[in-house]
Amino acid sequence: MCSTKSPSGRAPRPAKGRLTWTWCLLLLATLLTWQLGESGLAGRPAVLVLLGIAVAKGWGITEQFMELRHGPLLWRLLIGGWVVVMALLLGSIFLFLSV
Amino acid sequence: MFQGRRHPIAAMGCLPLLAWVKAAGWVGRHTPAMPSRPPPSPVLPPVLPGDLAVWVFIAAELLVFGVFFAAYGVTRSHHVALFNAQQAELNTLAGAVNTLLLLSGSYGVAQAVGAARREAYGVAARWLLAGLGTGIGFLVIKGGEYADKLAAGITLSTSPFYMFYLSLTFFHFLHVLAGVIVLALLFVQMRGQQGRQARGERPGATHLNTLESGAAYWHMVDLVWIVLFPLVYVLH
Repeated sequence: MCSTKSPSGRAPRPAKGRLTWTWCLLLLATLLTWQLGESGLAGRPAVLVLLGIAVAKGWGITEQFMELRHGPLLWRLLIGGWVVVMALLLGSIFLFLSV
Repeated sequence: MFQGRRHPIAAMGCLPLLAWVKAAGWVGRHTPAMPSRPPPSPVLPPVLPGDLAVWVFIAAELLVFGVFFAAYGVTRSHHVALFNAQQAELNTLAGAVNTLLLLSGSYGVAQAVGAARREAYGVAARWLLAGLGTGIGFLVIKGGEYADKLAAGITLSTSPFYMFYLSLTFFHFLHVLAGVIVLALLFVQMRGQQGRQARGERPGATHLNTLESGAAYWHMVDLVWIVLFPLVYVLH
């Protein structure tokens, strides 16, 4: 994946198949989130599953679409870690303050 | 001829060692590359697409949305029954369709970046147009949701839940609106590139940087919605 260079030599080309697979998985994850909401899933399982799906989707967006997998570690952690921090923070609030 | 002059140690018979060190990537980018040979290692140095300022802006935006989300969670913990009851009044299907639209828009924009790097500017313009379409679709669906709520007499002062629902989603709505304008400008720029290419002129030097910066912003709008949708529409 890293062996192909763009004409400018600045960054690797995003592999077409990789983007399409990411998109398909993101769509499936969204349908899963929606169906879980429709099924009436609530409480602790809902918090864990739905925030877990959000983290997986966030990884797809930041690492694949935003191309941070080729980026400096600081930015990968800062932008990619945002969803993880959000999931931990919101998960804690929901699990320990609300439910 | 190259190694012997640049590195005296190589003249003493250490050329294989030097070659190995270079291949292992220990020397770094500042080592002058030999034009007649392929790159020593397939591993590229880290590259941040687009402009650094856009990434700083994205980090600041994510922080603001993060504070909003935490405030939603804490306020909800004081009104759990109210939040659960009024969340059930939301159109979850509209929220899910909007998620699909944003994700598809992000996919289109990522494809546009890839096409522009291949100098396939016509293809890039079409992908940007697809992204633009998904963004407008999002705005139309969200506008329909707002119209329904306003018709039902719901305002910011109706309840803490609706205060958060309206302000949080409208703040995000404005980001999508800005993103749609950015995508429209990028589309015009890409058509310009296509025209220059057709006339045999050199494409503008900064076009790729601008496209990557706009794309990063658009993905950020998508990323925020990935947390906003389950938080406001689904989690209870």
